[in-house]
Amino acid sequence: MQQNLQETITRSLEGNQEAFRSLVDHYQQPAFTLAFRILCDEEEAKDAVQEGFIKVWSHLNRYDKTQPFSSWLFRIIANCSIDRVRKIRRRNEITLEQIEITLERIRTEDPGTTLDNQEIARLIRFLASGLPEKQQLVFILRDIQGMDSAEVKEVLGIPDTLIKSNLYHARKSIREKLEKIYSMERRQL
Amino acid sequence: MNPDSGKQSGDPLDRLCNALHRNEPRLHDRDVIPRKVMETIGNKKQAPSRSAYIPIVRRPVLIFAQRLLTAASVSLLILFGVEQYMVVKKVNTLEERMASVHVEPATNVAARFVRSGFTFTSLPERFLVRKNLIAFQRNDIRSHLESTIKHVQP
Repeated sequence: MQQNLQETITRSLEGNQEAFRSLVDHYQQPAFTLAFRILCDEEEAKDAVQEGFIKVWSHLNRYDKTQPFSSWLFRIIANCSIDRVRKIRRRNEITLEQIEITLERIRTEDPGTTLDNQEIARLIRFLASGLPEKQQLVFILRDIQGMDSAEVKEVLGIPDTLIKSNLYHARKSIREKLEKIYSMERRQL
Repeated sequence: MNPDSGKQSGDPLDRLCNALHRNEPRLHDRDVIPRKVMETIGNKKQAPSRSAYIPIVRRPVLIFAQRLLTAASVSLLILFGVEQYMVVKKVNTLEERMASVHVEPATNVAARFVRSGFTFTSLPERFLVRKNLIAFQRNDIRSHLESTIKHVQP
């Protein structure tokens, strides 16, 4: 499978459109996941993924073959999503009630509980809202997407120390926010 | 906190992050993105690869030309620097010499002559005129004296 993928990448680099199509097929889901987590909007995420793949095709000659293809691809997708997130103005349409229901589901149901796209978007928006842009992005990429520091550094172009401090402040603010919600719930009970 | 750990810790934030990490947003229609991407790149030409852009045979020539131009520009820079230094040095020397020259009254007279339009080429002519004038005056005085003496002597 891995060998096939490598072969597909090599053929795409040679300009083979069919090979590139199978590459898009293979990577569209993880690319969409990353874009969705940054943008919290299905349509915007789809557009960002498309834009990212088109950029990849146009700049295949810049790909460094010594690096993993997926890292390069995800860096482009993340940058496309970040550009979009800066352009769009989000309407704040999340109600506290909706968030409380989702939080309750996560807390009480079994760990394998599934969330739909809307719930995921709502939850990420709620957690990231009110944070400065850098903190939002570092939190999403590190804690939700699960990237390591080196990958975040490559995508955002900021030093390790700044990543750590942004993550620390983001987590602190989110914990305070969650604490407020949970204390409200306790009082209601 | 590592979302990959899969453990359910007591921290609500950890639990939330784990849930969000586990729940990937689903792409419902998996044909849309590949179709649109292929439509777009079908109309778009792929950027030529860098290795194909410059033939390998020409590369040493290009590298040589590049280095030659770099060396030439550095040499010119050094040359201009040296020249500038020499000019500054000469100007300084000249200023020092000018400052050491002692100005005498004769020099002032000469300077006045020069300022009044006096030229050294006209010097012989001016001396000749002056000489003739003096000779004429002498002759005139002499003849006047002789005629007086004649009148006085019986």
